[in-house]
Amino acid sequence: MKKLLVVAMAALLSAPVVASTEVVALIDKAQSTRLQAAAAGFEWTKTAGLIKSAQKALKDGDAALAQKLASKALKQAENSLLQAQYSDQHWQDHAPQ
Amino acid sequence: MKKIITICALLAAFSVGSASANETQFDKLVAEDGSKFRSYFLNKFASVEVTDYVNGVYAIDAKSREQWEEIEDFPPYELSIDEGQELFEKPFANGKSYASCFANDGINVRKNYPYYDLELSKVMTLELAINLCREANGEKPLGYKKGDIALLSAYMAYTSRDETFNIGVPNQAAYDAYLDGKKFFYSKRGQLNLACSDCHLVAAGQKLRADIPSPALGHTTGFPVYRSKWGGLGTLHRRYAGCNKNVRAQPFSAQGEEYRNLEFFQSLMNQGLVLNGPSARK
Repeated sequence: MKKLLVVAMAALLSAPVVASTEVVALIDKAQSTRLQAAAAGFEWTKTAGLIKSAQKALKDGDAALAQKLASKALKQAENSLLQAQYSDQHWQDHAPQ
Repeated sequence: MKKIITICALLAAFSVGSASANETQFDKLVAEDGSKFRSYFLNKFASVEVTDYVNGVYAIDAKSREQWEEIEDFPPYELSIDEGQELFEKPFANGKSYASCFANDGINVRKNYPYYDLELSKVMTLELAINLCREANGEKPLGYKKGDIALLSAYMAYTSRDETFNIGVPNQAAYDAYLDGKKFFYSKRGQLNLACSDCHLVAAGQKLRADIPSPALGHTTGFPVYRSKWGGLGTLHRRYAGCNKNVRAQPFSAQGEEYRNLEFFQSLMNQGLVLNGPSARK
């Protein structure tokens, strides 16, 4: 029993501690990047939902989950913005020549 | 031989248009694009008559066509045309009707839409014109994707059946709107990173899971459509939004600038083909 407690405590201590301020900043970054993509007309359908879920997880006290979701949202938003830039430069390549 | 004659007839129709006094330098640029666009499909589907592209995927897939021809024996949109006519003829509260807003009392005018409205400086679609007519007569505007707007559009399209688009590109602003629609068509978007052209040009006729994407040539001629998946009639912009969602791209508002310009581009690519709306699709 004592051994089990020690193992459990060690596991808890070794788990990464996620600061909620970091997660808030991550969510804000995902949101502003999503809005940039939306302004360019290239927003993806799932990004806003991921941001909402991250905000809810943070509110519920699960900072680790919130960080995971916000990271995913940020990646999507960054990719949609890259897509907007790519399309702006290369759309004519796809037209019949 | 029959195909060569058909192509020659179409080219002649285009060249007649080219010779008109009203043709602008922008019409010429668009005609060049249209020629490349049509050639792409005529080369890709060498056995398909150019006039058959108005039938969407049924022009290029024999099995789907068989089912569609059976559906067309009793067209599911037939009652919608009658309902649209009733709505069209019903007077507004002020005693006027839709006929008062359109040239030729609204009969056989579908072929003139979409056009670039020089006063409003934007692309005017038939559905937008219907709602502007309502508002000018003190009525509330209709929703743009289904319901009464689709019924009215279906009736008006029916009165223009077998006509060809009579639209042009009168000035630089109209050409910019055309280019904006063209850019939309060829731009990859959504999480699946697909452009309209990826499915309806490059992959037209191929299998995408259980579906076969239709060729983009002829796309706008048959709208509004009764779609089996919808179980009812819907507008072109409803379909655009559905396509965007399919590739996980946030759709735009029906009758917003993005979709109106896209419709303008697609309609200009379809010049010379007959209008056959309303029609039935999977």
